[in-house]
Amino acid sequence: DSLSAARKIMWRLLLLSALTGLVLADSKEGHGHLDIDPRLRANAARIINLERKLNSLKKKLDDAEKIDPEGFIKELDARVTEVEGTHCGDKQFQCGGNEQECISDLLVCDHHKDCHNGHDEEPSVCDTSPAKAGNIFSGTSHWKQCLIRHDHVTKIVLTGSIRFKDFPSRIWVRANVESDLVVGNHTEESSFKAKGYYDFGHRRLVLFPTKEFDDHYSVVCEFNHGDAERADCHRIQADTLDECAELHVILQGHH
Amino acid sequence: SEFAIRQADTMKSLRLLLAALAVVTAVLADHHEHKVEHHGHEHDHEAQIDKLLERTNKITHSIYDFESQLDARLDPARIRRAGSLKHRVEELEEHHCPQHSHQCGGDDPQCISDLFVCDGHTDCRNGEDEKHCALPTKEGDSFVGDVVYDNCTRRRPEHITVEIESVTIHKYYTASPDIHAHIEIHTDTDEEEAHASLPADGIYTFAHNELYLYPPEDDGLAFLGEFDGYDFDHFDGYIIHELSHKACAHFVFTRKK
Repeated sequence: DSLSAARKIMWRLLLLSALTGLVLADSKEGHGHLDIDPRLRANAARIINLERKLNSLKKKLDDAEKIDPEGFIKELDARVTEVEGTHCGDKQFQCGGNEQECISDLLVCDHHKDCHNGHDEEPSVCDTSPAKAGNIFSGTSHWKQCLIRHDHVTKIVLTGSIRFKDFPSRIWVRANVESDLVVGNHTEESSFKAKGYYDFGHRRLVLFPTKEFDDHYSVVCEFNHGDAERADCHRIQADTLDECAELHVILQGHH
Repeated sequence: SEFAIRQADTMKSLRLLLAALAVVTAVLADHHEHKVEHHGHEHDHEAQIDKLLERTNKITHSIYDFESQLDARLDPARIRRAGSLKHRVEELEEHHCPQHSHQCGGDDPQCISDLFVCDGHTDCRNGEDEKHCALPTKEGDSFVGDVVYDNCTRRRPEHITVEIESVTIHKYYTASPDIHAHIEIHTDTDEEEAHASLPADGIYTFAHNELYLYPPEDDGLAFLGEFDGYDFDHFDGYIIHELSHKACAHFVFTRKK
């Protein structure tokens, strides 16, 4: 009896130990599943949301790039200054800000400070990028007189520029002026070679047709939008300075 | 001998029992050890997960911070204010377009006839003429105007209220909806307190963002409201002589909310 009793106890103990082992092993796994994974899973969901958010931000960034507060203020400043006018003469440069000083436009950007505040040699004034060779400015020409033409696209391609060390207040440029004229139901290209200069004081680009193209009208552009990318241009009769056409150009391939 | 065998059996079973006990003890001990070790790991894991969550929080925060910076730049109210300022400068500049024409604006200026703005057909090269065609003077809208100067009205009121009664947009011509409005005038002088409600017909023109009301009385005084094209909660209202279009009174109007 004692033998069978002892056996019984033994088996019970063996079973118990096996069960204990199983239960312990089980609880160990279960513990992990219950406590850690949900937090990580929730975090993964948040990361997926963040990825979506980042993708939507790319579009917003593109939109935001088109809004340029600093450029806007510069443009308004330039336009208000234009409306206000200056008391300076035709061939003079105003020293900017609240200064009432005028200097000759031949002294602007000549590497020598002529304004008391040095405005005539400031980098914003002496920016050479409007007259950089390789620039292509494009816009629509609207003829008011001289020629009977529909509105058409005109391109100004600056082909070369040179600035002399002993006379740096002008940049001498060469350009091709190309127009896509609408004739009947097809477009025809009309182009001419021109040479001229860029004048820092008035931010003005002047292009005259070269001798072999002297039946074309000159182009005068003013970079009066507060940047080096946009200009209001006119086609003019070189001798009388009559304005024949309006042309608003913008630098191509610039972002 | 039977006892001996029994005893031997008992001994055997006892030995087995001991062995079983040893196994149980070992398992328990092992489990205990495991548990301690496991706890250590758990702390490690918890800490690592906390770190991950914290980093996710930080990244979330900086992404939303960046978004709010973008939103600040894209803020429509700010863009409207900038537009209103630009409009004021445009008013000072020489007009680039002839009378009765509309400036398409943007970097590609073009003048088109007034009659083509918001007519459902794109006439500007940049399509601007069909982009801003939401009517600011809808049925039920009400605007209160405060006097700036007044040299011609009979009642000389401090305030005028313009209430839009109805709007008719013709399907075949959408560039200038017909407006029916009431001009409410309340006057309070030493002698009398009076209220007038003058029904007036008119039009809204999208080309110039103008509300024009024909003279409601037989004094030849018409009403002209000029929005700046950006801020549609305010406009300048003028009392004008119908024939000469000369302004003789000016009120500044605000949308009643």
